[in-house]
Amino acid sequence: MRRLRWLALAVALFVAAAWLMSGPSRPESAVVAAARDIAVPRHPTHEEFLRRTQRATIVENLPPTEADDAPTVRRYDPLLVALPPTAPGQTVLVVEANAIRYSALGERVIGCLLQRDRKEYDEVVEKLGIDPFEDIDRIGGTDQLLTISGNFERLHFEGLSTETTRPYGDHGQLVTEGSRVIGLWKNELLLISADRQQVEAAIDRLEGRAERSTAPLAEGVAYGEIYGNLSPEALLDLVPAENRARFAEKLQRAAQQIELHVNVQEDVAMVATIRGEGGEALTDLSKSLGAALALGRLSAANGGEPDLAEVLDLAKVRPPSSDHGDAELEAELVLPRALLEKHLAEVCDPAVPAAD
Amino acid sequence: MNSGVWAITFDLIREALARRWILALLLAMTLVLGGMSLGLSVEVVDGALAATRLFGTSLDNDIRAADVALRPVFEAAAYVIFYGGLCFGILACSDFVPSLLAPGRIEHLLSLPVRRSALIIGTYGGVFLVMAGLAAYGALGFTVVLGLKTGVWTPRLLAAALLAVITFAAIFGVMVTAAVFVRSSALSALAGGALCLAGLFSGNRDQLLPMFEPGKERTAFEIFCVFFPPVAAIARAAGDLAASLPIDRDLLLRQLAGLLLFGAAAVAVGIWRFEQKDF
Repeated sequence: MRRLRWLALAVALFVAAAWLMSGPSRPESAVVAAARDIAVPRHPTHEEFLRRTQRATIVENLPPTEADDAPTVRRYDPLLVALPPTAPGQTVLVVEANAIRYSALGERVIGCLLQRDRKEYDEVVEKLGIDPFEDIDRIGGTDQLLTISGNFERLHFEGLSTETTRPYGDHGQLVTEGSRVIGLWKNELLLISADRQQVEAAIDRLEGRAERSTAPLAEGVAYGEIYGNLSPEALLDLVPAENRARFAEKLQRAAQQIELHVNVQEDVAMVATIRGEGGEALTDLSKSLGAALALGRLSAANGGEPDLAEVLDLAKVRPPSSDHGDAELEAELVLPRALLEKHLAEVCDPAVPAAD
Repeated sequence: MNSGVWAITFDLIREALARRWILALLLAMTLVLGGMSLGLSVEVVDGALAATRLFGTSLDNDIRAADVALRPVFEAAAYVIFYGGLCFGILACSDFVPSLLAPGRIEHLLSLPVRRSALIIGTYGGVFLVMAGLAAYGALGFTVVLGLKTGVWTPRLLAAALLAVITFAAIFGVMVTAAVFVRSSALSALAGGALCLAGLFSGNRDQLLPMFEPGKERTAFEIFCVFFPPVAAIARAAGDLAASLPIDRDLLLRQLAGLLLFGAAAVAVGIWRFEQKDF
């Protein structure tokens, strides 16, 4: 035993040394340390799953089938049902306005907005009869129709200088305001479009007179505070204006669908899954996105924003892999509250000096 | 520490000072410092650097606060002392333990009333003091030359040199153990060089880790990094310290404590092996 005492001492010292040396290899700013701990939205949380179930208030009894004698019940989320069917690659987005409003970040932003424009906001509330920050729950939209869910019992259309108002369906009301048509369904859903048929079709789907299963978003993708599909044209904004025409077709082939999920609570975390026909085009796109991130990082570093540069360091682009048939890539980005707070302070608190 | 350890330590210092390479290094450092003190012409007016000329050539015409203008100089000096010191130490100190174990000498030393562990600890301590003296000479000389020329007196370069010496202590611990296992100067130097190289990876692990996809490879790299001294991180801290840039003091102290324990652990392995050996 005496022969092993030095060895035992060595092992104990090695373990202690490893523990002491196991910290970060270089001092991290609080912003970057916070960014490392932010989880990106990859699947619904338990709360989001419960929320989704509670929102499925439209119940449809399906007739028994040959395979199953018992009648089947299907439930639908009215906001998702109201959204019109879209072709693949078209934008359809849902924003959990109420969840964002009551998030730490939302509270800060709204406090900032109201601090500057409180009087104008109060006038809007008086004119509409509802408080958008309190009464709106979600906002969903496509290119053709905007849907807003919430509590619209106190909404008075008089404030909108409307021209005509008429009932539609069992629970709908249509209002024409200038070139827009506004539909109100059960005092819980507002439907706004330039095309009357879109609003009427939405109410038809809600009341069961039209096929409901054409919703452009499956309930399974309803997680995060912002979710949906973006048009590949959104990527064209990354291309210099003079080259857009040349790249438009290639981009649309490479990225046929962009599924987006954004968490906006304490911090902002975003995942975009880009799906396409696969092959070299998608691989090239992943490289281009990686290069864009690198340029953004350099620009932030040169622009005196080392925190932003380091946060962009943590942004990732996962190239297509055989796990997904080489047909999708993922981009993720996190923005910690501390970083956003710094910029918000510049806007909201004029006394705070601007960041270098 | 008992008198046996001190006796071995002073014996090693005497041996080191008698070696020509130590004298050559001291001479070279003195020449560089002397050359700088003669060739560097810095005009400081009211604490601001007005002009800098080295051997008659103008280096900078901007008028800036002298301590700010000299930051890059101090930072560069810290890196030179740190990495230069490590490389020199690894090459020059690799044969102390092999010569200690040389046939004839080791039998003589073992016949003295000195514990075997004292032989290793004394040798380790002696090399540590020699390197500390050389680093202090270089850092102090540089501080004095710049202080006299610019009026900027800062002990930060000495602190940076201390970091280099502590890092070398960890590396030399492994070199001692390697030489005890196989009495070879080349292997001892190779072990020191390899540890220094591993320390470059370990010291940049935060930048390297994101390059690994989560999985076995990433976990293996994380474990690898934990067990090797973060040499590059300490070098950066030395540069930042010398340049009066902010450093994370708690993190640095933790890393230095880890380095000292790592060196002690390596020496303990060497002592364990040395006590097993028959001569």
